[in-house]
Amino acid sequence: MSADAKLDTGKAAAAPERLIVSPSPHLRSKDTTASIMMWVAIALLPGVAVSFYYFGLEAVRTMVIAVVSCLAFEFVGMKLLGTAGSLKDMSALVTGILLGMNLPPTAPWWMVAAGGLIAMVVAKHLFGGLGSNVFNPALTARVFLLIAWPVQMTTWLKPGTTGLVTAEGLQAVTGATPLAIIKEGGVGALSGTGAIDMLMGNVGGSLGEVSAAALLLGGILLLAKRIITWEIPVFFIGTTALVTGIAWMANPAQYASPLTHVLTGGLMLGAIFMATDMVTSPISFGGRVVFAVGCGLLTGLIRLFGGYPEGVSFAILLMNAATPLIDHLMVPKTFGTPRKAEVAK
Amino acid sequence: MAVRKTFKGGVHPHEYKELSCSKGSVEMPAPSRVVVPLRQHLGAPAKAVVNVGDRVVEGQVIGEPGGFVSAPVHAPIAGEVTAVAKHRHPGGFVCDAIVIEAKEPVPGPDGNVPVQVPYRMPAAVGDRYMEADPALLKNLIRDAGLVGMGGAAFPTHVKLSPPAGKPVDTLVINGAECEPFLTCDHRVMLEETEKVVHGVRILMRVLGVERCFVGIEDNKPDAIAQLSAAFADVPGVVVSACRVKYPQGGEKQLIKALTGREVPPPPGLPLDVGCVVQNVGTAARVAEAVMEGRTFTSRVITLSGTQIANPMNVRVKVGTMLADVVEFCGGLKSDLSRVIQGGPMMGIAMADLQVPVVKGTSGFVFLEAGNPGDYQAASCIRCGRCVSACALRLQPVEIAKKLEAGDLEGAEALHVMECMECGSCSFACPSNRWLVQLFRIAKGKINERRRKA
Repeated sequence: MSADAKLDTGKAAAAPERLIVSPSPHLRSKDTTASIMMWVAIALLPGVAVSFYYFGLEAVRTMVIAVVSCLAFEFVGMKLLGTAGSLKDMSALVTGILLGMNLPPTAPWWMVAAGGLIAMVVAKHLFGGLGSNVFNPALTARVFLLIAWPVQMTTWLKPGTTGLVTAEGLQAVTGATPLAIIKEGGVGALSGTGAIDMLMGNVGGSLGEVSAAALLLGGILLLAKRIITWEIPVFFIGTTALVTGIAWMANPAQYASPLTHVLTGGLMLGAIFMATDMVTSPISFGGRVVFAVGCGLLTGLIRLFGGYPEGVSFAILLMNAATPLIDHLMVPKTFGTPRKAEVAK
Repeated sequence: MAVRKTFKGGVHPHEYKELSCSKGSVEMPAPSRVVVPLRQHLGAPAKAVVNVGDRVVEGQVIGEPGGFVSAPVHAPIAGEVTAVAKHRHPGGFVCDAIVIEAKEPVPGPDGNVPVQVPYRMPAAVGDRYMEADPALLKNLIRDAGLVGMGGAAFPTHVKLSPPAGKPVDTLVINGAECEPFLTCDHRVMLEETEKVVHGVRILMRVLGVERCFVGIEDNKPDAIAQLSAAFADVPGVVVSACRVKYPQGGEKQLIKALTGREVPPPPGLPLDVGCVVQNVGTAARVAEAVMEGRTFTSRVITLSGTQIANPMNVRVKVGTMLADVVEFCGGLKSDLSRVIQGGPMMGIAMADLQVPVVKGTSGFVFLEAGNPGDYQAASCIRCGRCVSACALRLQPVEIAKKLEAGDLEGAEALHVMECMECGSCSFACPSNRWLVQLFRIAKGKINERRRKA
């Protein structure tokens, strides 16, 4: 028999005529982009609930406009630019909630909608859509709005307001954020607000600035579901506490305690939900540590010495810009590659 | 229990071991026809030494090694050689194979039917292996055609012949069995404990090492307990529980977990860190070869998955057609769409059931069609899960980016050649991106370039 002769293939088995022949691995983890985004949205809910509790219908209105405009502009961005993404991947929903959390409750509707446009079309789809953006979309929108309309972006509702507020009535119900009070009048001016108020959210601020406790709860959920890893929140918050702590120890009369700094402003929201944005943060553990320390350092410096009372947004955006460089420089040594010290031997 | 040993990285696929792990292995009666490929190991294929029409007895050599890195093949059943021709191999290629059909022996001139005595190697030493010359033991292992039974099928005697200048101080026995579904090593550890112990002692004697680690994932507490007890009075052997994590049974990962040593990137071998790794199943076959003179003609395989009627462990002759094994095990379920040789993480998809069991076959997994979405890659969201999943500290996302841009050199600079293709990155990716699949293609292309250069 010649070597290439066909053999009798034996008796037929009860198998289908066509089997799928695909390359391994033949199993996939259950997590998808949409499920990851959904868990982020769920983790944001406690913080959203607290903002609704303290700022009432104004907060609901702002949040609804933010989410709807982000979903709408995601669609517009995809259609206009033909970029990657889908409303089904839920990333626009997360951006929408985060945008809402970054705005004062009384933000005018057109301003919120402009934020949605900036976040989705400019910050995301002009860069290529899902996964290609360099800067966190919601933060880009916040900083744009802050610079474009500084008055509306720093008009803060006093907690405890329930109904909608008219333009005329606004003056009567506004207050300031703890960090703004300190920036204006020093630590003494904040004496009326305790750590418990700041922890629970009984202070003025953006929707997502008020309750450290609710945001922490969401963060614990994300850690438990392994959606985010611990290093960014821990190093971000830790570095901020360290920087502000040094200033506080040097001059407690002028600078607020690290506890105040950790519990107020956008730090919790930023460290747990914004700096951990996967698209705009480094991919390796070491890279994320560098990124988080950079965020904390910049936040502390801006809060202590900068012109703005709050620095979380600027810090994260600046570190977003540094992310490609961090990823480029922080390539881990592969398995079995000797470290430098061992090579020297 | 002591600290569970492990490595950094890896993933946690659902194990599915419960389908078959508590079922004792069943011996399948010898089939009437076997197809024995001449390439059942890494290295040079064996050369056929029988011709069509020859009569063979069970266990006799039918293919001789084609070089040092090669292994002989033996007749799994007695009968007549009916073909020496190309046949499909479960490794996804076509190679020469010897077909044997069972036949009654021809009556002698006196009219008596001769008794067919299975071939056993005459040099076998029984239980006196501790007094035997290690070189003799190694020759028995070589002549028995032993190859690694974990899947890669590297000839065992080659691993037992470290080159001068590479001292080996540790034998590592791989009982991790980290692939989902597979339970054949688990059953061997439970059912052939004595043989595993003998095999380990023989391997230690051949290598001249005083230290041996047996690594078992701790989803097999019964095997850990039984082997710990069996090795209690064997000096130098430590049975260690490893964390359940894929790819814990990867050679490099197991060595790292048990000894803390890191095998250098390719062409680095376990030998470079003084280790030799052997599968538990191989250890049991070593005992059979050295003590009883048995050649490698049968093994335990796992048939499991969601689309087989009775998931089970079955001892089959090498060369048995998969279709016959399936029939013996009670058939398939109606939603079958995928048949995987080996585990689902690294195994190869079969086009049909007309493939033989080979020495390196650890099992077949029968699955329904995958979710079509699993094959549609979406945008990378840079979540970094592939990076934390990689057990070799590579950056799959970055390598894939280079390859998608057609930049082979860039991928090479990011160490794509060190990828061991375990598939953890593709498993972990929430966007179902093709990562390991791209790396396999790239490795092939780069190897081709290197050969031409």
